[in-house]
Amino acid sequence: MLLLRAVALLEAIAFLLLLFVAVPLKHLTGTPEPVLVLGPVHGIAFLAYAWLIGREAVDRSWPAGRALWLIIAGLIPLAPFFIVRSLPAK
Amino acid sequence: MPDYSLLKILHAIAATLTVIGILMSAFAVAKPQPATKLAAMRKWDLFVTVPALVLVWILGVTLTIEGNWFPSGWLPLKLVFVLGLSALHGMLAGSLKRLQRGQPAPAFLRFAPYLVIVCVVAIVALVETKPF
Repeated sequence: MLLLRAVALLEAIAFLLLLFVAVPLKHLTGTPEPVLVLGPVHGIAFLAYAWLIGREAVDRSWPAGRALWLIIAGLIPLAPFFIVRSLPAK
Repeated sequence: MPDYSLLKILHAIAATLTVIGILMSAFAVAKPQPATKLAAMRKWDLFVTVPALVLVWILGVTLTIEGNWFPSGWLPLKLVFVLGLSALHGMLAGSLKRLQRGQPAPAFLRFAPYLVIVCVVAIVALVETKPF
């Protein structure tokens, strides 16, 4: 569960940096490099997050709806910060 | 940046190891296994399959950027099957943990080996033919 919490936080931070730093930089100053770096980082972090949700959902017998909601919520900026708080400590 | 064909070879090796690992987990979950085998399976999963899966994704993203494959129509379809395989692997990893504790795995995972084969056939066919 600790790993899931850490990956959820990483995913959330990478997504915020991508949306509010890298994308504006690309369009306002014509600097595409931050998007080229943060895009894949966010993508891989999201995959790891979704993979860990799948593993925990089966391991802890979570309802499929809860697992699906947690994965979709990972795509909403800031939502993973609340998800981390809602996850059991162990 | 390493050569494109070297990245491709590494991607293929990592993908092969991933598929072998997922298929092994799928069989271990679909057919009842003794605890010692489950422990060995979980070790293999943690030290071989998971790192190989991470490499597959990192190298896959790199190859997509390097080869400028984004506009190709077959790639999003391939991604659906790769995502399906990755999700299945996550569920199988959770099932192995459950089985080791003596709890049953979800019933639908008895079809996991067939799902793995369907995904692999679709991925290989799409990559080799690049139909659209």
